[in-house]
Amino acid sequence: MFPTRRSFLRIGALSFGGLSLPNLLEAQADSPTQSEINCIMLWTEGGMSNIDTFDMKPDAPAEYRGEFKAIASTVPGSPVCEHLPFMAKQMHNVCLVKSIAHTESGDHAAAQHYMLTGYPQRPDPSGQPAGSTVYPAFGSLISRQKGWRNALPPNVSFGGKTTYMGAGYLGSAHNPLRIAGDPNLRDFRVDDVSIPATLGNGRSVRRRSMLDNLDAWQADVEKSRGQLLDRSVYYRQAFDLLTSPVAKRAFRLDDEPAAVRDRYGSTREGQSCLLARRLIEAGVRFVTVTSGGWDTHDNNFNRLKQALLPPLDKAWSALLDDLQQRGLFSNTVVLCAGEFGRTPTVNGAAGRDHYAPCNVIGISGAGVKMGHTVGKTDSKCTQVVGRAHSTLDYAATMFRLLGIDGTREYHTEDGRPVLVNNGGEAISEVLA
Amino acid sequence: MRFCFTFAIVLVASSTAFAADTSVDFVRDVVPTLTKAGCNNGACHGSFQGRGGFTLSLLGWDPAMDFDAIRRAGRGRRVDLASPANSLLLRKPTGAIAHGGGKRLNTDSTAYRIIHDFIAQGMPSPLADAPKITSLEVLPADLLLKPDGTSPIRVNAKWSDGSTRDVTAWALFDSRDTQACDVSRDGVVTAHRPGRSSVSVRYQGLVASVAVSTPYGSPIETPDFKPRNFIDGIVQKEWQRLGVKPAPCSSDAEFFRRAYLDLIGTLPTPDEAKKFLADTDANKRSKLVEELLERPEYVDHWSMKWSDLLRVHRRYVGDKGLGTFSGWIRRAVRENMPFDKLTRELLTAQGNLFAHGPVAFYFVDSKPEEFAETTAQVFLGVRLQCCRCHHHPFEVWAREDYFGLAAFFTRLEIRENGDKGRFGGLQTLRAVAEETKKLDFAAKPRALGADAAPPSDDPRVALADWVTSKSNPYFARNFTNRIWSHLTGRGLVEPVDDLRATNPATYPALLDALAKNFADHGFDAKHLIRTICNSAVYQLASEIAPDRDRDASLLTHRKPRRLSAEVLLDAVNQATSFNESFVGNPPGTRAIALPDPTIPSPFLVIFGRPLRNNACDCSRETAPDLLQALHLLNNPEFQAKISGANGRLAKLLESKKTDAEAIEELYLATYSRKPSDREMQTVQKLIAGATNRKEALEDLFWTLLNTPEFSFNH
Repeated sequence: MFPTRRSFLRIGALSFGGLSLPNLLEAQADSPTQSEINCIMLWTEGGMSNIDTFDMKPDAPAEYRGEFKAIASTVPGSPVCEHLPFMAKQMHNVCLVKSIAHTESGDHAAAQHYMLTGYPQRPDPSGQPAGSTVYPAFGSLISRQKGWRNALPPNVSFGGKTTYMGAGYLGSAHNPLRIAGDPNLRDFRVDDVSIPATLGNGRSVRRRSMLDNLDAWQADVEKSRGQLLDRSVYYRQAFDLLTSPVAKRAFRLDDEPAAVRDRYGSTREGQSCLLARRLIEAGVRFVTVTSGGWDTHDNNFNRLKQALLPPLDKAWSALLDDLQQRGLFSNTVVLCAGEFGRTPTVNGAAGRDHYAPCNVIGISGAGVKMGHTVGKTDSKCTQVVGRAHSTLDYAATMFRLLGIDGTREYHTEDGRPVLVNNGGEAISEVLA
Repeated sequence: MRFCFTFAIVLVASSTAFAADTSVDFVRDVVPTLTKAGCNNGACHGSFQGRGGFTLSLLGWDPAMDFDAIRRAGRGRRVDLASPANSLLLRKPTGAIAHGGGKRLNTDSTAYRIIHDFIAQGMPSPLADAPKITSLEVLPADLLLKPDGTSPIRVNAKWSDGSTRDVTAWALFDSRDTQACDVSRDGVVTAHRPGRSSVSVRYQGLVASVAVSTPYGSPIETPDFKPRNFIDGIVQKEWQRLGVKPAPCSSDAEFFRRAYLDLIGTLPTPDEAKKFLADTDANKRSKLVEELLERPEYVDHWSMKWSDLLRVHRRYVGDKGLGTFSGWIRRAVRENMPFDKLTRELLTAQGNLFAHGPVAFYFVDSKPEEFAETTAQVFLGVRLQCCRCHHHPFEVWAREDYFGLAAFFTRLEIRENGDKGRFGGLQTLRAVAEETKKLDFAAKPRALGADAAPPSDDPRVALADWVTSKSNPYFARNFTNRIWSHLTGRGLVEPVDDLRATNPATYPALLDALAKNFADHGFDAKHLIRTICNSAVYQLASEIAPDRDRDASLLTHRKPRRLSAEVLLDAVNQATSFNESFVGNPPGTRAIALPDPTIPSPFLVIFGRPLRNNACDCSRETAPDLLQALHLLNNPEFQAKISGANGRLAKLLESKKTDAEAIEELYLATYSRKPSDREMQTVQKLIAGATNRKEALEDLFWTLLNTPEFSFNH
């Protein structure tokens, strides 16, 4: 007999310890799914230069506008960088948002907390979480509120080890399943998730039956409850994931036609995006693809045009094109964001530094009004002109698009009540 | 029926009291009415931003602010003195006009009349010298109810002018566990499930609680339970009263493994296990406890616990400060420094960060408010964070108490000597004469519930005296509860660092007796650990009767729990004979001996090593999850430990041992017990029938490591 969720929340409120909440319940969804919207998030870790990509200022003085030329896109009046030729053809499928500004220019980790969770607070001054609450990223909220669809976990992340991409106070059950391997490598293997070739399937099956047979202690002594029961739930999930044909098929990139694989680009980002699409089709709700190296304090232009923009350009545009062609725009949102923009002036090392007052993010897909730009920056990209939006508004917008219930209250590890949406207002211009 | 009748009388009595009083007082009468109706709770007008432009203080902690909000804010439109019934303050909650919070009052209720009459009287301002509420009495304080039995609670409040009044109708009641018992709005408790729970009572910033016991059946005898010390006597009496039987005593093997994991965070070796199991000394359990208390791993294991709590991390103190801080903690544990001394050294620390470990305590936080919160939480088990902004919703603590505690820390100065040496500037902490940090809310140093501290050169000394005093109601209980929880997996008070009147211990008498024993023995941790581990309660088996005391809160059996990240990693490495090396640490360093969480280890991250980012015991994750299951089932590095060339299994295969011998060693290395006959037969058959003996033994080893009998402490 487990207490009902509702009664436990009441106890939690009284005892100041949401702690006692049986973890099994944590692992279950909060409520029957109301919305079946999925999300693929492209995370440009380090902070993509906004003025060199999607918020170009060709008329600004040279020390601002930088080296790149703007080219026309499919949206009149929205030119993009010359090194984004594929995205130029997809801009009608993107809602660019330039109005989201925050104040955390100093520290990546803190800014990541702002932009991954929406919560404008800095959990730790030294860049690691400390002192105060770590909030959950969007994918973890989805995991908490919507749960599992099938043998595949609801929240998966490719690459990157960003501190605040996890579940925060929601607890480790809602962390993304992180896939560290590079899908672009020939011998790509999903760490821990695919059975080692040396072991083979037969032996794996044997081991599982041995585990069932020999686990006398759990079977006899314990009438499975609490952690032990949770543990067996997760073991079952793990076995399901390891053996499920759906999961196996989802990870099999070789099944994709060569033309499709090429279109996404033979890069980590490209193949991760393709895999993300496959996972969404197979039942995953939220996939994060991290693209690293955007922290261009020096040599900004060479790094952008050689290493950073081409893979992103191909991967992102192919993803949008592919989703649209497959009709997945009806139930999938694509978000491309990073922790902040970069300084409007070019520094002495031909680089740009962190700059939180201006940033640009792109949103596409289900429920999004695409093919236009929300918000405007001044002629030198130094500040937002007109209405600026906080990261709370940004989060509220994502909650709305993804069907996350923002009115729900959870408890932090030490029992403090927290609302999912603490005062943010969805940006209406983004919504279709 | 009889109960309902009694209750009706109570209600009549209280309304008579109001009728007899001609004047309605804002603080005494109106605020409790608003609180009871739910107007000022955290989800409504009591939240910081208020609701619908109307903001009250949370549960009425600031009557002056509330008076202003009602009388003046909103340009006075909330009240109509000429025609009280037309006041928004009454029309909204009665549903006469739209109200976001719905209907809260009936027009014929006493509450309505109180607010109405108060307005009709012209809303006199609260008097500064009005009598203050001083105490709350609940009757009965201890309820014994059969399942589905009901009983009313009566609440009396006393004021500073000597007056008392029955305030049952205006008090707030909450059940701690609604599965165990419910309490109605007017204070009638209904028991549901057998066990122990409590109901909290709150009125005007004061709190009390009522213990609710619901027996499983008639009182019983527990003849099979053999008490060994005072712990057992207290608990046994409660079981008998509740009609619940304890589990049998643990087997030697079960106790043996448990004692190792609890006391030294280390799995026993097969040889140690064989030796203990073969020992025929009747006192071997007590002897084992003594031996373990002197093991070097004892220092690692308990230093890790206190380092988590004190947040030992180089992000606060740098590499060199890390050395002094963690070195000092290890020394304190090794020398079994009494907890009052340990606490005093931390609280009154002065001097150089690189020479004197306890000084590091003052580098983890930086604001006086944070020092106050940490002091309350770490040393007293009191969560004071709420009171930074408002009266604690479940305790008597007010903002004055919070800032009184913070005021002990406003005269600290950290100086760098300016010499930027190899390890950065030398940093020195000292107490100075003038204030170095301002508080948001002016206050003089005053400990919780105590008088103002006398002026002194360093007020922290007086604070340390108060904190570590034997008469401090929190200090001994706090560390007793923390150590109890570390040894048994569950605090007598849960959460362990949330001691308050509204969150009583399952067995208050046990916590009191243990805390007194701890204090009487000079706050000697080893004495306390020894006392607990030698009790028959600690030595119970982990099996339970169906449907009885499932969460082990009644202590009828041992609660199994997953090994913590560091202990589990060491256990895996020891079982497989794998030499794990950690970056920047000498070879042979075990996970429980790592100084801080910056040392990379994917295993430790997956299994919930705490980041030491807050002083809450809750920051260590022990919940199982998918990644953990996948790691143990399928991680290549983990697999390699099983089949590694220099590992236990490789040596076993070389040794020409028989199947039976090999199987026994694997069981001893993982479960610290020999396989049962049935297990032996089953496994032998599996191994003999396999085409590849090596693979079959690998599979067995893998299986053992993947069962909860290995990864749990039971």
